[in-house]
Amino acid sequence: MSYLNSPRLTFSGLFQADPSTVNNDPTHFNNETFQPSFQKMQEGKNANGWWNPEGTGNWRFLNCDVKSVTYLDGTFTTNSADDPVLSMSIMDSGTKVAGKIVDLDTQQQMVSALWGLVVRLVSGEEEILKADYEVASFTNIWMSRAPSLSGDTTAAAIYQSVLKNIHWNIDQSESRFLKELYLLGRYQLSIQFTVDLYDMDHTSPQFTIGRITGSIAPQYSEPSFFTIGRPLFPNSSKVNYANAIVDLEQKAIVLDLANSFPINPDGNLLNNSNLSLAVLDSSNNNKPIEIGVIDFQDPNWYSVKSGIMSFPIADKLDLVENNPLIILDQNKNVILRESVEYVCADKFVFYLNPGESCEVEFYATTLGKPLASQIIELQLNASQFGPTPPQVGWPESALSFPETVTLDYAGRAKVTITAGDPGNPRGYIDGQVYGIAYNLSTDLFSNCNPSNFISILVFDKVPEDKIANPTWDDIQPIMQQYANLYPLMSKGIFNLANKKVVDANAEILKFVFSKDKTDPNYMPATRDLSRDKSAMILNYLDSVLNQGTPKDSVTFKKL
Amino acid sequence: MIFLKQISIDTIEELRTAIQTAIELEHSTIPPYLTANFTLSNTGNDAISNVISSVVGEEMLHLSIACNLLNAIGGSPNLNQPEFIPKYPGPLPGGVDTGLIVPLEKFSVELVSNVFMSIEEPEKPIHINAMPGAEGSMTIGQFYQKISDRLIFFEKEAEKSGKTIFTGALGKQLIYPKFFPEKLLFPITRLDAALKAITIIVDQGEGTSTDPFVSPDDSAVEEPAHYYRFQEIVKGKSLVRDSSGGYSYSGSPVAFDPTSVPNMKANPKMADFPVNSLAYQYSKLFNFTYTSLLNNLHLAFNGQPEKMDDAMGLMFSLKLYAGKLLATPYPNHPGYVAGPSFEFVANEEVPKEGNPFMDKAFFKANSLVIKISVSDMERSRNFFIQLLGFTEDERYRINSGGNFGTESYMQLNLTKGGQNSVTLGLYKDINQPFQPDPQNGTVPSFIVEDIETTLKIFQKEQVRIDLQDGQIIVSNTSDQGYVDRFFFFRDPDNNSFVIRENMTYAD
Repeated sequence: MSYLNSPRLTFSGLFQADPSTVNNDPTHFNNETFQPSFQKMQEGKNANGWWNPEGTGNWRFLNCDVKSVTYLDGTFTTNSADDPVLSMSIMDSGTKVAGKIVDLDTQQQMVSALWGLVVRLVSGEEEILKADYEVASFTNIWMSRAPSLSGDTTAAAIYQSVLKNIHWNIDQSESRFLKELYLLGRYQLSIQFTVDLYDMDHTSPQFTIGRITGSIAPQYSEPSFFTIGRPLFPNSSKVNYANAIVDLEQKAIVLDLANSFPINPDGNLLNNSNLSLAVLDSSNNNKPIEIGVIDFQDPNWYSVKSGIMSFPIADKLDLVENNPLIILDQNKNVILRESVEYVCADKFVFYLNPGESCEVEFYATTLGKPLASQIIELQLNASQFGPTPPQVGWPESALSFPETVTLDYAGRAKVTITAGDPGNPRGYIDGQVYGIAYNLSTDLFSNCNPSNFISILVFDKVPEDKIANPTWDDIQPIMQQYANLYPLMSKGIFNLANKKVVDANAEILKFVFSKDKTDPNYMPATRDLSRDKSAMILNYLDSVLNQGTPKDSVTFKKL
Repeated sequence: MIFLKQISIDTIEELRTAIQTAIELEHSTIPPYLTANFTLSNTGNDAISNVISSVVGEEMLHLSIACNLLNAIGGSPNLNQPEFIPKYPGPLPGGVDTGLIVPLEKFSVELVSNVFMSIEEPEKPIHINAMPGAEGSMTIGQFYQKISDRLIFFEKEAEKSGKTIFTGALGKQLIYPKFFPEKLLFPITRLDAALKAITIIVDQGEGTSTDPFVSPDDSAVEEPAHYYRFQEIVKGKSLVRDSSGGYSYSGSPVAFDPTSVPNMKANPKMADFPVNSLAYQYSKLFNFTYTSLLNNLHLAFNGQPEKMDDAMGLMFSLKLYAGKLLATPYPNHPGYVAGPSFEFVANEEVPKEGNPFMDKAFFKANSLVIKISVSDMERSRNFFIQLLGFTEDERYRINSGGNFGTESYMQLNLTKGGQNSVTLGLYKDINQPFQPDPQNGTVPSFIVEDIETTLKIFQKEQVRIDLQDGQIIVSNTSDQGYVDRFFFFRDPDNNSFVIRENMTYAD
């Protein structure tokens, strides 16, 4: 059960992503060559600190309203007279700072993750549901979503994750939907959304704002970050990947096309001709048998239904369970086709310190059912990373993992990846970024969805004695780098490059540097500080505090 | 000097109300102080900024102390309601109406001398004559003295029957040694602690009658009381003790350099920014963050003291959004920048006037224009303007043929509180009034305060009124028991409209 099952709600509205962009250029990490102009907004051909040098890092929902519900029995409504949840909003935290959008690394900016995000369902002033969003990276980024635009505004991507630590306040609610959601999703919910039409023009009133549409449903017996189903692959770069499930309860195919077709700058489809969903009948020369019409004339298909469409298949269940799906245009050309055998890793972005391991969980399917006993091949692949310099993905010896793994009877496999010490191959950037491509041994990685790819940041090791007894000179380069790369922080609150400032604020700095990384107050907001350097900084701050120098008892002096 | 309304405290409930007022009062100085301080960021005025920040920090301490005090006697601090925030510019909570008007504006020495020092002025400033008090008023010092007196009185009364007024749960007492020394912020569980806590508030604010410096018992570092600290800014030098035992403003310089202080327009309001502007976006995010801070503090002072950890981040976040506002031009006011407005924005339904980010596209309508078929443009224009208070937005005017012929268009707005509430589009597509009268179809209703007066004016102006079963004003009662009263009238082209009085509940 995940976001494509029922009961589910859909929502849409806008989102804000306000990343700082000085760190978009890897060479800006070099303290030796850093220029003050790198902290300025880009001007004409002069890139300076790119398009948002004073970004806060915040990511939040704006004006997101619940648009539709589909009940457990498959019935659907958009009318708030039917269900009060349809007059509620989706919001982020109302009692702490916004969640943060964070790149894995300056040389892997294509898996940006949301950290410390709280998701709430709000009715007027009342909080109906509050939950923690499990850290998740976007995937299936598609740079041709709005082809007539430029920069990141052309792109769309999806986020899929789970909501945990759910606080329910539905005792007084008359909502049938919320009762059903609680019944099946009391402890965990699935949340998925598509983002596009992001505005990166700093003179625009919509600067840092984009469009979002998504859905929330109970989550169990499924991976957290993707949905096992019937993956549809595009036949050209003008179309993007899609997914579908066969809902046996509803005897229906539930298809998600939210991130699959190109749009105009106004958000409407470039081409809103209807398409058809069909199944290839292997018993009859693979003749396409139509399952239903994909109704792009329906003005609600995206903003109200979140691109999710349901097709009854009572009479074709057997056919659909045993044959691949396709999507045809009006001239009967195939534009998306199911990838019959498919493998996908659940979590696909990791941070490792020397000596640490992570476990990657793979799920393989054939026509949506477990693909048992086959072999998955894994290999280092840094081709998606950049810009360079510095060089990425080396030394290869810093990462160890098996070259193959065999799927079990349930189509699952786990791979352990262990990090050594990369030995500071990038000089002015800590650690190294590594990519691992994977594919079924019967297939090639080049045929796979390129987003089905593992990204790992491996940090450098710091000598034990440096960690234990750091001086200001030891931590100064780290602090200088943060001060350079995050001018909003260094000019607005703490100039971390200044020993006097750091020492005077040791108490609050210790407080934020020692927070849990998933806390939105954690510092550094970019979450790119290694275990060793973090320990070194905390030890330095402790040494300042232990000296009993008069601390700045009024932290509010910074306000 | 601030004068508060004289209050009587005859019951423990009234004592709790008075302490809630104290919480609101302590909070109310923070937005104006912070606003001025935000405008000093990165302007080379650190000495002044440090003075203001140190006062702000202590106002936060005072707010925390007052919350502990209210919790101690079984009350519940209330910080997360829209009414918790005073209107700026305006009087402070509990103040007499004729008192000081406090604005949100950029730093200036005049702001400090005219407003900030007035807020903090002791009853008897040293070397300065006190202002005469207004009739029926009291100073902040007297206000806290009254609270102390009543705490003593009620506790003694309770003791007689073996009880105490300090019935609050210990778990609701907030201490935060990371930032407030425990000698200043401590659990209040008994009368002596309560009285000590009030002494700290008054001493830090006003000092004593003999010493402008805060008593070492009531402070973490040696510092003058708020009034004298602000005076350092006005005098341009810090306050020091003379060798003779007196005091003088002859210490380190506290000079003001206005060169790079942003020219913030005073008393901004989110609603004053066009919804489709960066100033609006940042204002909303600032206010949302500020409201989140109040929500957070509300939880922290109502049994979840650990929430205080999240307050720090919100305070820094506020400063960052203030910085963005102060770097953003104020729409339609060349030469000025936007600024923080400290308004309560808890959900996406606020503000109700507009739909801020939706201009981008597709999801929702922003506003409504109702097209009215008209045969004589000027006659109808005058009708709607004179009778119903519309104004024309001439940008939209299309004068077809130069004589308002067929396909001419005029757009009329009904504006209230600076916001359009409805727009009519007069369109000439008929040559004479509808005949016979349309009997159904779309009928817009105009809501008025007083239907009888409106009717009198309409009758005087000979507006056509449609009777309903022989009656002019008729009424409906809704399923929930609300009654609305209305009558039908016709415009010069016999389009049907309704005048309706605001719903009232029939009891």
